[in-house]
Amino acid sequence: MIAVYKRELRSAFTTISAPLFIALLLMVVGIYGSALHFKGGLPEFEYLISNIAFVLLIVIPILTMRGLSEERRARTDQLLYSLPLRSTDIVLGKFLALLTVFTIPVLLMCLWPPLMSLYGEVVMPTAYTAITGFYLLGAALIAIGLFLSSLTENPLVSAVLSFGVMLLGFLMPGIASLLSNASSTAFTTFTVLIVLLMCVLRAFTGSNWLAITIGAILELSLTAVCLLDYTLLEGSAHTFLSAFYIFERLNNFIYGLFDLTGVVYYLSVIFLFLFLCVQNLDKRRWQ
Amino acid sequence: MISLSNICKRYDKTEVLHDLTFSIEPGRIVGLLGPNGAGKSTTLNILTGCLAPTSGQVNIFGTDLLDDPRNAKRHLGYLPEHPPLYHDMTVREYLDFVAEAKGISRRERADAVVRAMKSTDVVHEQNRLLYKLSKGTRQRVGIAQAILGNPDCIVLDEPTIGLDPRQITEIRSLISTLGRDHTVLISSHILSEIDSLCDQVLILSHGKLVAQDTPDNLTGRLKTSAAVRLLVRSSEEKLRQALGVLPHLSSIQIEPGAEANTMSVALAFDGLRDPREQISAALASKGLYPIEIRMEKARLEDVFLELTEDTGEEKEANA
Repeated sequence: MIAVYKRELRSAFTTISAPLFIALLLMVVGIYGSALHFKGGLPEFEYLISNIAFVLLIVIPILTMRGLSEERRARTDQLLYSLPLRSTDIVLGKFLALLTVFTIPVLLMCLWPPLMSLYGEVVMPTAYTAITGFYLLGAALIAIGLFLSSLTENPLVSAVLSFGVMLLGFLMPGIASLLSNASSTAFTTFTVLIVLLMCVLRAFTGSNWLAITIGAILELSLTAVCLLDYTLLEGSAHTFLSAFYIFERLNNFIYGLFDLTGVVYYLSVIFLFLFLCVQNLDKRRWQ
Repeated sequence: MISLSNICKRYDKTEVLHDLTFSIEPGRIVGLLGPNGAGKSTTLNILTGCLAPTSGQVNIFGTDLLDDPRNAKRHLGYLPEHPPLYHDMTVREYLDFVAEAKGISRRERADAVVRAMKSTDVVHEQNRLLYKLSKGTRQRVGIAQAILGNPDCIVLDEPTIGLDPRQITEIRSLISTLGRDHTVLISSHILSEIDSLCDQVLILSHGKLVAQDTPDNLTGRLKTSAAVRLLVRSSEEKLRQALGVLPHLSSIQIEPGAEANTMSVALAFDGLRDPREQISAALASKGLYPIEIRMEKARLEDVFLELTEDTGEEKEANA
């Protein structure tokens, strides 16, 4: 794993991805920081974090786009598979290298609150809680981007896919707010999601039979729940979709709460997507 | 020893490998021969753990590849058809990375890398970026990567493809040298390469193993068993009279020889291994004495065509 980590880290800096990522992120921090703190006179560093979180949508795909897709394109994945490495070593090595790149601008951001405290009063715990939340959000998005890069051999497709998925996560609260609390809405939403799940299963396993069986079981269970107690589904669409509010979870950290459920949420997202990524690498060998 | 037992590989509904079983004794150079699409690369990818078989077992020096891939892969060095090089690295950095990934300890790593570079003659290129190297040098770096850590078996997939004649000769002599200390498995569709390098040949056709033997034994198995070329000072008519009576003769071609007053005769026999004595006797009985008698060795190419054509016909017959 260490060999893959070192190689990936070196590669990130010999290509343009890591310098571009760090430069863009620091540039946005600089612009918003000047506007909010120096021009606007606001001492709350967490406002800055809240304002710049959206930029991760753009910069994380730049960082992760080459992740595993480039290995497939250059056929170096064959080397990794033939070496005595597990898929977990490959995925973890890459993830930790990308996380290290992300750590650099975040560490630089950590210098802002003490710098600002020279000119006014800054609440340090709140500022660093917000930075922790921002770091966890970034790590979770890196895991998602890395997984999506394992799906294609074209880095550009990987970047667009990552941007699309992250944008969906960003807009999800807005989308969910358009839905009513009624059971019928929940039924329709879940049916749409079941169809989407069937499509994903079909794409991953190549088996129509498996996709249809699982889809049918889920749809029948949903119908059964509706028939038993129609009110059970009330508001459940919102509850379910809230699992995808990846940017929204940052709010508690910005309010100064060290939200343990948020920490668990981000760690679960990281674990889930790295697990899927390992599964995808293994699956390609069996296909 | 390396053994593959009952390996099948299916992509969707197409069966690429069908019940493939063979084993390779240590210390041999083995050639995997087959037309394009016969399943050579798939076989090598399965053997090196890059692909999983649909069914069957792979055993690498006593370790099952599917049960314990990490330990099994320590015995292997693999150069795929396209050398898997990171173009943003120098030769040295790349080999350092592979050595570390192969689990070579930090103390031994530098020595191992230098040894591999010396064996493949890339020491003077060590600080160059991989994308700037010529195709032949890249291939040599690919081989250096495979032999790092001195694995018991080196697997090379079409190692000379796309190289110029000088580079081909260099790579072939490198493979012969590697064969002294390692088991080497190379795949190729170039028959002369396999013929000159290998102790054992495996011929694949349509995902099935159709032959496994030494190159000499394989050529000996040809149905048309002997071809002889003669140079005699005589006339065509006399030669036809003397040689026409030979048993098992299937064809006779006579044309003027390169030397003055000589005739060159090409004879082919069916079901007869070495007809040279009978030919001498037949000529002597007519008072003729050959200047030259030469057995023409059947070529591996002929065996290859015969075997791969056979299975093609079989397949059609089955269909």
